[in-house]
Amino acid sequence: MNAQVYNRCVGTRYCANNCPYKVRVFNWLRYSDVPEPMNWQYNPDVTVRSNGVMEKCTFCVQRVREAQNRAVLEGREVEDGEIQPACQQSCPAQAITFGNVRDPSSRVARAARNERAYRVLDAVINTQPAVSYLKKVTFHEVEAGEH
Amino acid sequence: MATATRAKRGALTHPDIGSYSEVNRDVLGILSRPGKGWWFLFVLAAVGVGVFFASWGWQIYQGIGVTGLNTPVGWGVYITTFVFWVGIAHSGTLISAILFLFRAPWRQSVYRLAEAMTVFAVMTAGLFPLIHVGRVWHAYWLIPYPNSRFLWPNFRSPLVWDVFAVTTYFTVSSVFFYLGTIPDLAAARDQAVGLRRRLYKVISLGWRGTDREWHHFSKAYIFLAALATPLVLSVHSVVSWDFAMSIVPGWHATVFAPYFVAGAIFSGVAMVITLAVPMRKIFGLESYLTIKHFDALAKLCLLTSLIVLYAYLTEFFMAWYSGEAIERASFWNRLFGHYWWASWTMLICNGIVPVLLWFKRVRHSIAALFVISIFINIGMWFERYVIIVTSLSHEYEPFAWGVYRPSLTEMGILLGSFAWFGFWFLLFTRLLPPVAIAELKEVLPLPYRRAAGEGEAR
Repeated sequence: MNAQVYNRCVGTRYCANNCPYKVRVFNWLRYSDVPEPMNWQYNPDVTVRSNGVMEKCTFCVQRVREAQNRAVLEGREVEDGEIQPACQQSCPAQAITFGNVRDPSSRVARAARNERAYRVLDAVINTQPAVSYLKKVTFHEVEAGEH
Repeated sequence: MATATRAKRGALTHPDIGSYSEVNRDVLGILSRPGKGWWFLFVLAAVGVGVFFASWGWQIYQGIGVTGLNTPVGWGVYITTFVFWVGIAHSGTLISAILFLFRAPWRQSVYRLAEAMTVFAVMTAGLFPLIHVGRVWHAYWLIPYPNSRFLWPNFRSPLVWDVFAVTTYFTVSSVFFYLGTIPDLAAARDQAVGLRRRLYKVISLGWRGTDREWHHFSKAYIFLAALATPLVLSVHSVVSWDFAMSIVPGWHATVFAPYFVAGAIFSGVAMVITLAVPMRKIFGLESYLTIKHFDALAKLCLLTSLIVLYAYLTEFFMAWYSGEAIERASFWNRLFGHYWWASWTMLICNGIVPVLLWFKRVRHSIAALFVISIFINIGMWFERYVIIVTSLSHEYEPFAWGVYRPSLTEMGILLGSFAWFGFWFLLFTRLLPPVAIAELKEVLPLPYRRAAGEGEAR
């Protein structure tokens, strides 16, 4: 996982320039400065980012840490599917799987081994991303593949 | 023998200056009589500085959102202008240090001007990283110092190298500039009255012009020149690594360091011409800044222009030769994409217009040189704009391609930076001798009492 420490960010935006996926988002203005009671919409588990800092998806690191801590207290490993990032939890099509890719029996590892799986830009600039996408298979391509 | 060659050199570059006292009168005279032209420019610059700080204040209050920047173009006019001013700052040290070590006789008329330009250009450039960052009130975190928060910059980041490169360059070039002015400040002190006299008395550090003082002075000057010489190459190399060390197509190229250094000297020499032409006119320095000086500057421009053009062609060639689809697309977009006009401005101003400098008639026409130097200044600003903005606007993923348009705030800061630079430069022309008195005298014939007819013997 890749994230920034918001309260140390000076805001040079160099990381965003270098991000080949352009997934980094800069806080151009004071978005968090909202009147009461709008401030209650913010997730209390997450730092509210201030004006002038960079941010990106953290894979809901607060949920990951919480599950890991719980597992440690209970003296066990984190179970597959125990951690769900918010996007997975709310996805109506269940298109998102999250888990430990290093555990070969996990759902996400099985999906990543699928022949439809690909990693964006990995073949071009060797970024070795943790996210795999499952390619859509069209009739046309199946036909072409059988030749 | 040595005196004879020196006198000959002086006669070559300054045929109209007869004596030491004439130099004192002409150069120190500038300090005491501001004309209408000077006041007009000074008021203009002061207004511009107001615009500059008003725009910056507005941006700090609102956030970087008042600029035209947005994903994917996170660097725009500010970094362009930063690199532009750092580039301008280069010829100063080149002319004062490298040409001093090589004993190029034409440098003594222009070097004070070029050094002052260097110091003020770095002062201008140094503001831009601060203007650019999202939280300027935390910008000092880029400087490593022991602190209670255990903050330490990431030394693998070229931006941190940049902080060191620019601050080192500023320190060395200011010290070098100041050291060179000390004998001239003493000359100014001897003529000034009142408050000015007291000021020059302090800043000339009690210089009396004894043999011992001259001995130490020339040793210190040589050592500082030798120390400053590698900086000419290092600073802009480090600035170029901000780009070359990244993985942005159009930035990630090994040619960047020499390419940027040549471009920096190119733009800096052009800026010396841009500043010297009006100065010569306003202050009546025709016999100090002669055609020969402009000819030498123009030749330096021509040489660096050829190197820069070669670098452009190398970049395009390598993009094609690499066979990388993304690299090729980036350079194709540079020439024929949304920002085609910026790229062609760059190519025409930096590669084609300076071809005129091959002709001696052009090199000997002050008006033509002034116009060409303006073209080069514009072209070199656009070079950085093209490198930064077109590359960022067209990276890997088509969904993340985008277009950037500078906002009014950015324009205010860009124009204000010229005013800020001009403000300091105008103050310099009134407070410090803008032509090096002592060094100029070194190449003039020695004054001595002579009987009639003896003059020809020497």
